[in-house]
Amino acid sequence: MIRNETQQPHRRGKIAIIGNRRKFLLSVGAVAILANTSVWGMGSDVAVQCIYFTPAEAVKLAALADRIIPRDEWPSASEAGVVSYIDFQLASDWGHGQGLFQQGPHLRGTDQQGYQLSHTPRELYRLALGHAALRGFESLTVAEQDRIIGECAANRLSLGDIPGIVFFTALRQNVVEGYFSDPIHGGNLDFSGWRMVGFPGAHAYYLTDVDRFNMSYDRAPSGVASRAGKPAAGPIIMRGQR
Amino acid sequence: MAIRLPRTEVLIVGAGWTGLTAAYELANAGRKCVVLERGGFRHEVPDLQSPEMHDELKYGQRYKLMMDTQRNTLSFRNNTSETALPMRRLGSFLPGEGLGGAGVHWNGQLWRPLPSDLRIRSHYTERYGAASIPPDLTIQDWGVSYDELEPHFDFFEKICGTGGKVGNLRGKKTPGGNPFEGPRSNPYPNPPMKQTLSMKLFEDAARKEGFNPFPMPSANVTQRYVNPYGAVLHPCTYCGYCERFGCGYFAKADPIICVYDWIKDNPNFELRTNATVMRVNKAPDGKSATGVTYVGKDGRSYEQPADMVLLCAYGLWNVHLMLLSQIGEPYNSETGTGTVGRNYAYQTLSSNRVFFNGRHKFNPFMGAGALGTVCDDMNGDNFDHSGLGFVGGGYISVTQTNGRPIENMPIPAKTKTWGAEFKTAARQNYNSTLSVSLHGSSMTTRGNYLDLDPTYTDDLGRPLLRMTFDFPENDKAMSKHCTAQARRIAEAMDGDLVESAERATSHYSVVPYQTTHNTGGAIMGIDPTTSAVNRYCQAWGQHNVFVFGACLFPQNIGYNPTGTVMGLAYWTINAIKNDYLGSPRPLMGGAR
Repeated sequence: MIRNETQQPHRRGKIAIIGNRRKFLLSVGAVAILANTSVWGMGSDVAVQCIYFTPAEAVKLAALADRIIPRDEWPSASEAGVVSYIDFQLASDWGHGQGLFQQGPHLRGTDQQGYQLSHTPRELYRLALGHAALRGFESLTVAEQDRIIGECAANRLSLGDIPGIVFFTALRQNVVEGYFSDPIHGGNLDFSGWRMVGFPGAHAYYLTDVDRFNMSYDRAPSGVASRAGKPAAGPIIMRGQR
Repeated sequence: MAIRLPRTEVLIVGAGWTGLTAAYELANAGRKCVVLERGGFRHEVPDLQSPEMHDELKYGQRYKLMMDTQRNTLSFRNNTSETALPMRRLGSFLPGEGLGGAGVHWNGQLWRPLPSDLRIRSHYTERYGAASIPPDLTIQDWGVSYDELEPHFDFFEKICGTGGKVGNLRGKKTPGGNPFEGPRSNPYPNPPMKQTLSMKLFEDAARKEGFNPFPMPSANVTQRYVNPYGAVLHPCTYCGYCERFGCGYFAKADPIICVYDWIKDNPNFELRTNATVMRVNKAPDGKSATGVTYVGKDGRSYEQPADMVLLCAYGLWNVHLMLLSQIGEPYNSETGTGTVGRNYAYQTLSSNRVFFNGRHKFNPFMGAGALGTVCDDMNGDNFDHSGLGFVGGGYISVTQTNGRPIENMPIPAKTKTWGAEFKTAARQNYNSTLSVSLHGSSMTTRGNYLDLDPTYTDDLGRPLLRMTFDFPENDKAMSKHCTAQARRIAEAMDGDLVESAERATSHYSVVPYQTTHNTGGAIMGIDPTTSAVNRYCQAWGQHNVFVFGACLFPQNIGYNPTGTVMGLAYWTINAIKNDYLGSPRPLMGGAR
């Protein structure tokens, strides 16, 4: 585990942001997940090396994500690598607007017409995390944090031109993705999300089990690149990463 | 200036189920076929192999097999008083792109329509009187009968190695199958899929409530099987990555392994990928097509002359091309005149979630796209509609298609969708919840239609297709009635909590996924003032243009469309091979 001791983990002690933008530039192409996951749930630190987020943004996002999926006997979102996951996503083609029709005019539509802002996902996060309504979010009490997220979810709060519900929907979706997607994407560390619900992952042969009623299926999950308890050797490099 | 290419006999737009099948049949009949596909080449090996394919984020959430909405989409509004805005991301439906089209990521739920579905207006008028049909509905007969299509349904079921239980064999009812289905000339070529606990609970509850459950007909193959074209299909592994994914096991019938592999080496067949057709070109008198203009992989414009043009793109894009090419008269919703874009319809879905709170282990990740048990008692006119005030219905089912956790994390409606409450509920319900679903029909009205958008364009500068759609009152009433019946079954399953959710209680939205069953817009019929193509799916005004796909449906049935789409495809191909090619002409009078 690599840590930059000059950088203080934020006060809940779950996340340490490593390096800065300059260091990121040197590490493109070998984006490593650097995490001590063997003792999650025990107050462990998760180190995140960000491609896109500034350390301040990453700390704020960790605090937000940990209210979407807080820690209980299973890890919180940030402990499960969700900050790295979202950072990877925003650095990828998707973050730059892949699959998003961006032609204007960008008019205000009905709920039924879906997302109509001009922001790509990476722009959306930068604007939302930098908005005054989230200033100092990571230092608030949990109750205050929940109140702000609840205001967003109820669309009673806007972050500039971003309606609260739009940011909440993106945040919740991306946190859930990071918690439950294949670990090759940077989240779901140690398969914790899959183990929590009992999802075997990329395993795909149930011909002899599918009609066994109420079967306890306890096979350790496997991902595209690795199995639980057998992490992939070396840094995981995202294919097609920008 | 477009580069003019040597003439071909048959030009086919789109390399999905219908386009590749037309190419197979016509190339084997000795005709030179060129297939233009806007997406890229892909194949089971190596592109659809596991474990790489079993990545929910990449394929299930980021839609790597689907159309690229960054380049081309449609605009949407609920009604004409709104301004249509671009559907900026995929959501409600997922058209495909690339070799095999949406046939690569379908589920394999392979249905035929009911005989009465195909003559809906006549049927309701005869049985209940003309007044039984709500006056705002523009529903109409298809112009083709079940008996005419039956051999083609039968053949396509063999192409797919379909598994199921026959319910009506040549007019004789057989136990265990669908007692409401039209007569089949043959049983299914393969046995049904296995039964999960969730399906068994549904079957028992449905019987108890007086319904007639049977296994869902499935193109997820249940044993080694060789189809009529030579494709070898293998038994499904119940991997749980079916819809939204390609099948690397050669177990889900798709157009690549079932058709393409068996025509690709025929010298009469040529596939050009990354070729986007801009328009169908017409002769100076407008009475026939001369070929198409397309933009190729190199970004240059090509003119491809052809004796005939088959529109085999996804239904929505067939309508788009017809509007751009002025094949037929565009529909005008104010006057109700014109036909292209008319009678767009969708599907009316609802669910009844049953929470067992940990008392069962359903293991939802053991699944397959067409793994399910169904009751057809509430579909079509299988029940008495007297005094109900609506037409149509839907099938009720429990399916076990997947347990992919980003998409499927059922929690009770009163539970907060985030925070500790969400997390606890997710754990508690993931493995012990099922859904009794209604897959309902969608009737047509004057105000639901497709045309060209006045503002937004695609990456090639063409106006986007504009969709104007909301759930008609008829379908809201149908949904309410049939969902209540489905709920009876759900409540007989001894769960802790049953929660019903209907799509058609409020406005239609393009955001949440519902189903990729977009129908109409280029509908078939026998009257050129109310249909875009004739009963052979031939354009009324341009006899050498034939149209394929669910855009032909005059309104949508309560079943998944692929079986009907392909029955119609073989019906059209048959008319082309056995009648049209010998004497090219309008196959029905009445051309304008």
